[in-house]
Amino acid sequence: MSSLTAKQSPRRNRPGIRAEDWCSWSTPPLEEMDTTLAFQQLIQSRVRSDPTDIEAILQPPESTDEAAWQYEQLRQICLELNSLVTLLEQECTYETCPEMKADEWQYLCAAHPSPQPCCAIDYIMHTLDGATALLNSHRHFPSRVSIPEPSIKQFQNIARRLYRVFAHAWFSHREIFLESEFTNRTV
Amino acid sequence: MDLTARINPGKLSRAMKSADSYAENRRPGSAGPNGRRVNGRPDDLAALELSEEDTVDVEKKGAAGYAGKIWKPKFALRNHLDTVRAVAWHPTELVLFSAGEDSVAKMWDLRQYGNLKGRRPPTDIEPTYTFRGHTAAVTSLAVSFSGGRTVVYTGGADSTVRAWLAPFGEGGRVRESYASYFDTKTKLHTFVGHSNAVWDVKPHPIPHQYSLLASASADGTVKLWSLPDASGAGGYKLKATIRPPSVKVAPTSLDWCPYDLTKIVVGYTDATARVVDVTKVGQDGDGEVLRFSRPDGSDGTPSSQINRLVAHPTTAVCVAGYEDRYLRFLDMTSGSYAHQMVAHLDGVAAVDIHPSGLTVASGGHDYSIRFWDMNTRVCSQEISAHRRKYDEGVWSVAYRPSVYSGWFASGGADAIAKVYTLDA
Ligand SMILES: [Zn+2]
Ligand SMILES: [Zn+2]
Repeated sequence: MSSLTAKQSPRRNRPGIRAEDWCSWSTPPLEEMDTTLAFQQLIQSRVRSDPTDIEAILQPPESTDEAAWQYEQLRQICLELNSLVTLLEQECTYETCPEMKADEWQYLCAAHPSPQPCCAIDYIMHTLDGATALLNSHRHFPSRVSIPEPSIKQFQNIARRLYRVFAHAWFSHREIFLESEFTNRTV
Repeated sequence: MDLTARINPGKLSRAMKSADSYAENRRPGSAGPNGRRVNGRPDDLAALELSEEDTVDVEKKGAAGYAGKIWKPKFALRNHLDTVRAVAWHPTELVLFSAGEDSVAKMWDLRQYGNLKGRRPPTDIEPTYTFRGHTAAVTSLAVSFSGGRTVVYTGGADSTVRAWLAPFGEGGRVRESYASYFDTKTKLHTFVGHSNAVWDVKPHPIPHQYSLLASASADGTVKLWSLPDASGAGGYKLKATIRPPSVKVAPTSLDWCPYDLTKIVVGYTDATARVVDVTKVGQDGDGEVLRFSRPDGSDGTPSSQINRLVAHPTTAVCVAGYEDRYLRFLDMTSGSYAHQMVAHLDGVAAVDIHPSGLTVASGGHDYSIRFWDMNTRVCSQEISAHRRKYDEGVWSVAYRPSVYSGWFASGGADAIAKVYTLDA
């Protein structure tokens, strides 16, 4: 290795880089990540190295705060859901899906003061917006490394609602769903 | 990306089970990952030493800066799920826009919080709208307001530039949260033509006179697009392409020059910059009227590149932030560097100039924001603003565009957009 490459250049996506060079660096071991966002960095580097290796992506590092680990997994799932929803939006409309249905179940949208029968695409976006807002709520999640106990029960609510988005895509928009499964994206 | 498997019922129930059992196992006051201290970093700025030539000492004026006023954090806007790459204000309303590596842009209507009359700001502020459409990181964002319409332009790592109609509620009021997306038509246009990541996008500052948009891409080019005029006439068309000055060099940042509205200034990955006359693109020299060769001491690689440049509102000067920690003042009458100074402890990623032209704000990967007097180049204030992810800190700073502006915003690697006010 030449002395030029020996010096680690910063792990930074500088303006002007090509899309294929995005995050083209080696990820340091967790214990060297001196940042509150270490879990996010680790999860995203695993997703980048093999997005199909679910076991590896979900495997918590040893002696980990499990709630904080799951919190970051949920954030990453919401992040990735943005692109599924972007694809869905081209096909899932008020005309095709006036109700939020998955496998004959109809769901009311819980993003409103009282649940509403939003059309599927609104249900999906409201649900994703609601989950994103909850995960970003400073009141519920004041820190990304230590999750208050009462907030941990929110994980289940978030996961259940997000699951319906996948279910609707699976039952009503199979082609888009499969397309999204095989789309490899940056991050 | 196999999302089903990630969230399949088996996995999910396992995750939930461990979430449940977590409650029992949790040790009180347990530390973060691997038990390391992760909250807060020592304040690097306290140890700031600037010894190089042409540098300016940070003079800690504190409350003495800005005639007794300093910038204080007011709101932390949390809703992006990854690094915030760009923040930009609405030209007239107290509305902020942000763009992130989570592939979305967001609109934050802050008018209801503009005057809190002593009340505490709310802990959680939700965006009024999320713009979905990009399929990769949104790197850049700019706002234009003309004929009563607010149009947001975004550039993305997916090679596209997009135009969006910002949704306001009835009569321009705050849009209701969780209103129907389906009924809200925001997608105006997708500009296809760049062949790699788009890194900057800027509509002409006088949109009702010049219906033009400029974009900079990792494909090496700057493209000029025509926009429909205020009456809706004309279309979205590619008008001209400005080729890179040499191979393997890409534009990183661009701005329109207020002193001559037919010119743009462009910064490149080899630390050079140039001024281009947009009416002469395609002719000899691609319309280049002025070239800034790379600065002394710069090696001309991306480790000394221009990250961000902003044209001064009243004089023929451009302020640029460089990856080698410098802020440089580019004299656009002569093509020389009027001043340069080490401004941060790490790369300078963000620059903006107050609409009055009197102060400059810079943001760096040392996580700090600094405010500089335009004439004396003395630092009047520093704020430790964002936490880092990888080796990234502050990515964007923006003064609210009003000469009396007392509002400021920043975006960073910690996925947060922050809003500051100038307070006594
Ligand atoms: Zn549908
Ligand atoms: Zn709804």
